[in-house]
Amino acid sequence: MKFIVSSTQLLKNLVSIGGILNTRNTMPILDDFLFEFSEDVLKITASDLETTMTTEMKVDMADGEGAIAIPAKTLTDMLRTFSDIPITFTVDMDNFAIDIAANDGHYRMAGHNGDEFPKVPAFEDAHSFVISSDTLSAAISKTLFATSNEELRPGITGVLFDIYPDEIVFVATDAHRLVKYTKPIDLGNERISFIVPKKPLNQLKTVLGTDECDVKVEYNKTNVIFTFETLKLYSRLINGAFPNYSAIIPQNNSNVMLIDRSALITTLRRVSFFANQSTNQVRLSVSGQAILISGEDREFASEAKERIACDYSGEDLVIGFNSKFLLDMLSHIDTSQIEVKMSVSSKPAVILPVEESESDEKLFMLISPILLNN
Amino acid sequence: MKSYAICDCDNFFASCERVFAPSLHDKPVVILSNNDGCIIARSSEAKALGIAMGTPLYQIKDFLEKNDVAVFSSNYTLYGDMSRRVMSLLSKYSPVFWQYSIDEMFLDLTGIASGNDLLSYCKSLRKTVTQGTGIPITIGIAPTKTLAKAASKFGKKYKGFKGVCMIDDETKRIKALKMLNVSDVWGIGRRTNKKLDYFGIKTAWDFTQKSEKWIQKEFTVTGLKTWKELQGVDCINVDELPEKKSICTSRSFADQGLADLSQIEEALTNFTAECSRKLRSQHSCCKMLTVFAYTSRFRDDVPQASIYKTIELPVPSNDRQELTGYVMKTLRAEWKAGTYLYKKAGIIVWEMTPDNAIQSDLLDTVDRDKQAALAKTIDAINLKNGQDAVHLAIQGHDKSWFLKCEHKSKQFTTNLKDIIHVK
Repeated sequence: MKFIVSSTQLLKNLVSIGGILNTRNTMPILDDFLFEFSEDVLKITASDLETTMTTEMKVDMADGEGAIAIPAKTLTDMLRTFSDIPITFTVDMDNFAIDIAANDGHYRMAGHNGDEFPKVPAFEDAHSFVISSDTLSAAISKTLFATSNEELRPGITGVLFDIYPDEIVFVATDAHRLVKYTKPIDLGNERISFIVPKKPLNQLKTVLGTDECDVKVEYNKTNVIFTFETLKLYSRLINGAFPNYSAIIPQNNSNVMLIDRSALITTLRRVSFFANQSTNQVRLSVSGQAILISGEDREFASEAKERIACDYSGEDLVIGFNSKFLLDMLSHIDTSQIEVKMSVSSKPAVILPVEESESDEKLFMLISPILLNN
Repeated sequence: MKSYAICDCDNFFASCERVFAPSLHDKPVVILSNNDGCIIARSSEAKALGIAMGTPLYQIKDFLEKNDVAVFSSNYTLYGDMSRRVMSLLSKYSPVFWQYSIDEMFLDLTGIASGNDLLSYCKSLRKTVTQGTGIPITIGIAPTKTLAKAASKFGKKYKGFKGVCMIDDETKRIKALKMLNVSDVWGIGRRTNKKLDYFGIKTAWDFTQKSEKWIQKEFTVTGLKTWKELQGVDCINVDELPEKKSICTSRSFADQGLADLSQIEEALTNFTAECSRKLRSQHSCCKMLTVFAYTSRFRDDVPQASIYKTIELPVPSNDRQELTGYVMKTLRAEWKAGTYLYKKAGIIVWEMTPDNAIQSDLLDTVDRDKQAALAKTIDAINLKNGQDAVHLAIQGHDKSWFLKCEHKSKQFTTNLKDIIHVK
């Protein structure tokens, strides 16, 4: 098997799927990229068994066909050192030796039998829909940060894709906060939901470029495939129940505050430097048309208080939050004004962007408080 | 200048036993641990006989008999009540006081007297306590709590002080620090001591000669506070002493051990109740919980088994019912079929957070407000009617798993049936 390929083109393709590779693998072949070659198309695959990603590229002066697994790190590290030059790969399919020729250089390394590379399972009973890459990218960016790392509750370690015939809802929670991103879209599908793990979504976020394109999403009970341009990402779905999020969304939070988002962020940041560094606890005391944000760390005798104006209608209230969680959430909102809806100090608060333009996407955030007096 | 006094009961457990057995005065007395395992407290006469702390009873049983040493099982009810009496007498001598342990109390004597007047004030205090309770105490007086602790060490060591030692000027401070081993300084633990040893610091004086910058670099904020206190700068507040990072309640079971799940369940439920009580008293909640039980490693003739399982709670808690639920679920899941004689079992709660900064959980099914109100009510009932007046059914009544204590004295001060009759 022999082919010639541009070094930068190859590197670009390898990088787009390389994020899937684990640094430590139980199967040595998973340290490799799988190169499958037929006619003049080279298909490259990376896998960690849970997630598999493939990309395709055209190559020049192709000869023969077959599959070979090539050590990923050596290949990528080597390609990074070249400027854009043609590289010739010659593979001896009897002993899986790879000869690479570039300019005046000659390199040789041992590959593995491509047939031993784990195969993507057959995809049966699949349904599909198409979504714009911009929507998918925005949905992932706005929800992924709120997923949990808790292995004990696997259901919330990924993002829920909750599909209705006329809209798609993306939900993530770590049990302390919840983010819901809704986009009206005519999918015409039956009502279905599945949970996609964090890693493939992170990878998707990186490769979904600035140019808008259509992403085909195919799914069945156990797997999902995202296909766009020359890339294909297969992922196993999380086998666990996502909590019934509608049930935890409070309906009667009647204390409503309108506030400037960036003013709130900068004040919170300042105050949090003086708060207890392990609990990150800050206190929000709302009364009249102002909010007093305070934090303290008794051990280091530090405290901070700062007042900011807001538009508030409701009863006077003192509520505690983890400033890290709150800041994280606020930084994932784009609007200049936000609305915070609260009930009592022991119940979750709702945070909503105040939309300036007519956008059909909806972002909803929920944060559970720190109980100030148990 | 501030004046603090630390009042420390001498050989507290042994002294308590002697109050109700006056014939034992000047005789060696030792107290045994739970299940009468090893020696955990000694009178000064017993110390003089060379009986070491922690010696197993069976090893020196003959020696004790030969030397006519009085042996007692631990009687914590008696010690607790005697402690209450001592503390209530001490608290009359200053409006500001902190009980530091079962047999120690700090008094703030600032402004009450100074110099020799202060010394005689403390001498009268000492006399009152010894007369009123029968427990001898030693008092250390100094401008900081750490120095007061050092003074009490000298008070105990040198009879000439007659139980009251005062460090109130620079000469005495320097002399005391030069004579005090750094490992005997209050707040210097085993690990810090090892480090100090590495730097060649032997006495408290050597420690104070290091620069503040150096102490800050090498030690924690607690180390720095100790350094300042030894210089005479008052900066340790007893209310703010670090809370315990973990609490463990465990027991060895007597004789063969326990083989029944129901017995271990009962024991662990009681340990959980104890842990949750301790958590509430230091205003903490735990996020992690470890359940353990194991068979005797000295018995290779019986099957061996061990249970050791740690779980993470979704919301930090100090609630007895909630913690018991987790413990039971864990124990039942980990229980091994077959007959194993478990010799020891216990509960460790850790990853503490203060109970006024609990991160709530969106998926939590417990109404935390109601739960806290219920716990508060039960605590109030139990405070009035006795510990465990209201308890979980699974905690049982007979405590068949409970301790072996063949040498236990009576509950002279807390049980009507045990009151001494004067003939």
